[in-house]
Amino acid sequence: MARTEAIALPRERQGAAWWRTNATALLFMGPAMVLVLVFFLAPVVITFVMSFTDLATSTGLSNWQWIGSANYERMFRSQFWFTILGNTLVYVAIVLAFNVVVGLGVALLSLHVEPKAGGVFRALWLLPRISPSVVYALMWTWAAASPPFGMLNYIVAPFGLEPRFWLQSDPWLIVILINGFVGASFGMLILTSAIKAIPEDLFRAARVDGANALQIVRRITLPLVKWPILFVLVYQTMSLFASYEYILLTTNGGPGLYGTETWSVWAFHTALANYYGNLDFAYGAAMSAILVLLGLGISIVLLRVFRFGQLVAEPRVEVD
Amino acid sequence: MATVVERPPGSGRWPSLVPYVVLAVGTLPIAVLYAWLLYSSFFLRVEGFTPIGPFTLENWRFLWDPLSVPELRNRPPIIPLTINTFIFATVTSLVGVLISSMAGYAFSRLRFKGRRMMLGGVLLLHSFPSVTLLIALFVVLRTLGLYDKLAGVILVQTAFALPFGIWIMKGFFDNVPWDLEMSALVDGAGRLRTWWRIMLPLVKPGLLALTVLLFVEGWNQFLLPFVFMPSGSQQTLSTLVRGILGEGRFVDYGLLTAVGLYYIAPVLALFVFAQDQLMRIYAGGVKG
Amino acid sequence: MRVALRGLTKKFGEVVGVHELDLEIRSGEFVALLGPSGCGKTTTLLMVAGIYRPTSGQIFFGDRRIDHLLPKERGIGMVFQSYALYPHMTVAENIGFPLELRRSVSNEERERRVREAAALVQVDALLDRRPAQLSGGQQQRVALARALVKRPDILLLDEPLSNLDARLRHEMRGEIKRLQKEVGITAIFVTHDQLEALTMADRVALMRDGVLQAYATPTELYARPVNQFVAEFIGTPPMNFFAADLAPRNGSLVARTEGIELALPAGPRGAKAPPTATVGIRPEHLAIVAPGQGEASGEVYVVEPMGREQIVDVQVGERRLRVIAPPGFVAKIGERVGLRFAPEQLHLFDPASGARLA
Repeated sequence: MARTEAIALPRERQGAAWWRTNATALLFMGPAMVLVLVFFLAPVVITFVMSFTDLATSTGLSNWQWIGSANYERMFRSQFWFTILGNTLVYVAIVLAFNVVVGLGVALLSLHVEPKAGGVFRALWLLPRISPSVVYALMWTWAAASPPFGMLNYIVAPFGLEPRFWLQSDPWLIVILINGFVGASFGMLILTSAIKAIPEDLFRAARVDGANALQIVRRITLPLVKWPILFVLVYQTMSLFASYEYILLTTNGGPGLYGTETWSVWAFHTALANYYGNLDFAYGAAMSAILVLLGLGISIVLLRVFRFGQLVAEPRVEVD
Repeated sequence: MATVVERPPGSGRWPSLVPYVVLAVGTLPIAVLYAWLLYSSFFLRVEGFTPIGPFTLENWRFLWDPLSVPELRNRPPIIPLTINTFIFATVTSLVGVLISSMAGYAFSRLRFKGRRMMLGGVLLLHSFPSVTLLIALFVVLRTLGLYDKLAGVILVQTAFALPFGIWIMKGFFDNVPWDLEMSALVDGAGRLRTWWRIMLPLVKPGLLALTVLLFVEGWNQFLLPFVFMPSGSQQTLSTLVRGILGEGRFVDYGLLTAVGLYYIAPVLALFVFAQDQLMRIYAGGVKG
Repeated sequence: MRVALRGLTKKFGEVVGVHELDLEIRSGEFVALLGPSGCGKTTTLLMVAGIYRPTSGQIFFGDRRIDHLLPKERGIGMVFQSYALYPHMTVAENIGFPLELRRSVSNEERERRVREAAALVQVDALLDRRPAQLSGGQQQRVALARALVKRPDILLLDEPLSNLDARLRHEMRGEIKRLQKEVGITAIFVTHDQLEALTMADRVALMRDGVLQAYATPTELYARPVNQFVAEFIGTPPMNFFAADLAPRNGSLVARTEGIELALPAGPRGAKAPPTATVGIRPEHLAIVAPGQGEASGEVYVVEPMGREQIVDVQVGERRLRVIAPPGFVAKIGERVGLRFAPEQLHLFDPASGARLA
């Protein structure tokens, strides 16, 4: 017994074990870290740095200069920034409400009806999400097209409404519908699995207690899917602030000057596709920087709300 | 679990129909849009829901006689574009799944410095709107000499898929019992072998689902090829459709729907095939 | 292979899982780590396996200190509570997996050893099946074969029987015990079931809240529990306890409480007896006698026939004592009876610390 007490661990063995632990992690994490570093973190840094320069097509990659906060001043002196901010807020608020309410509704109803029928409805609602954005946008462009093509005109005709070119006359309606259906399918997916995860016994008990369908939804289902609903809310808020693809493909920010231009579309137009041919990279980067800050802020709220720290369990194997 | 509320016996016939009616009305716009996409491609002209003229394959002639289609004359031929799109989607999904499953395993099973912080970081990344990075990515790709090249867009697309992929794979790995991992270690396997021999086969449903999902995303991707491969033969189908759509002056919906249907068909086939798995992938994502 | 744990401590943050554990396991010995859930027994096993890193303390296999080694470098085989069979591999692939990882073992040798190990636990007919096609008992056997196939120095078993139904559990209890002796391997197993520990192990280490309470042979644990916790944990039905006043009479001690008056054969060792003690007596050391006889009197509370014997709860004043009665015993609820205490089988514990007094 005394003999064994005397044996101490060689120092470098301990060091080796420490290195081994982190080397294993490095091996597994390495590829992801490289890609993230080059295509996420570097661009974020570059965006912020660039926003303090005058980099544009006219200056090229070699002739640019530092111009301090001039881009930011220019942005907030622009006569449009307030309109565009308003557009963005209205767009996010309405589409978000559509996403969550419709998503929840489809989830509840499709689980309420026969399982087979419910599955078909859910599959249909998934279609917009898995379709190429250009094709999905094409279908909506057609629906909103001017007479004699567009479907909407035929639907509203019985109500005595004049046929029109909806993308021009009511661009917001189209923008909201096109984003609304896509986002609703995301909410539907998350909430469907959340509701399915509720133990069936709770519903049985409620039925035995004499609750009707609406009471069950209000008193049992909704309280139990509170967190997933919150998740969908926050996640969609983030996505919507950054989204621009469908707007770009349908109204392209129009009609007119900035009719449906949101902040992210504005940044895109300024930096990558404007009508004047001079791509104002730096100015666009400044707009993007504002969005990055916004996204970061929302994410940090997300992490707080979900008490992220508690969600991360420690691994149960301690050695490598 | 599927039937939230069983109908109590003796309740009237019509109340049980209400949910069907509401669902059907709500789903109608989607059904109409896709139905139109389908049949509009087989008629020269469709006004509202009414086809004008007889059934025809004329709109599909871009497949066998592309030169007779004026909108396609100045564009790259469609078959190479399809191959490009396929390569793009396949490579991004395979590389994305491989890298995600490695990092997801590390996050789920390994102890290392900064694990918690990096996991939070992955979520933060997810929130970075891609549009905000496009401008800077342009600079990065130019610096790396990957601008206007398929490889560059593949790398960017893969990187963008990582936050979601890592998070999903971590969820699947989390569900594998710890006993199996411990057992493999005691049996004499290292971490790399445990991952490859024991863990990967056990998360196969997750791997499949993520592969399908990333393939679909790659196949559908419009923006990255549009912005980062503005010229040349390396474009994808999305840029073609966008190109025709964007011409604006005269919109040939017959041609557009045919090309659109051609573009969307593989995704739809895959969707029918893997729908259950795709539905399940989101189940692991949000807990608590 | 001898195993020695020296001052082994494991903390999870602020929570102490195992505290200063010293344990010596002789070569070829079969030792049970016993205790209620959360007592640190599995944590101890996982430290021996190399899955957990000890916060402090040392582990020796033979004369070699091994607590810095990876699991795969320790020469151990392990059976998990869930068996942890790899679901995507056949039985043969499962058993062969530990050998597959060794370059020195050729394919032919691996196949031969897989068959040997399978034969040892009688699953040689199931080699092509998948784990999902096996019964619980068969899975258990495969897990044993996989643990033994690489000829480890030490076999670790984590709750090996808890996933089996009662009949199989009994069968595997004997099987594992026989196998351990046959292979002659040093083995440690974790269980929360005192009956398993007593029936299978050469020695039992009883733990509570991360602290070793007793380490002794099953006979010793049963006959002379070192404290009240040990006395309570070992034996079914559990030992009866009651508080009693101690008073000297005629040179010996008498324990007295409502309805009971016991002459103690030998007083607590040491200079002077404490004024009170917790008295313990096992149900099998109490006998029901006619009213007025014996050392206590009470009335029958409930009778539970078990076939071979009956468990009778007798209300004595405020407390209830459990008695094992022969199958022929007949009593109505409420009937008055006397109780005879087997004098040599009384246990006295300190009411405050629970430590054994005599």
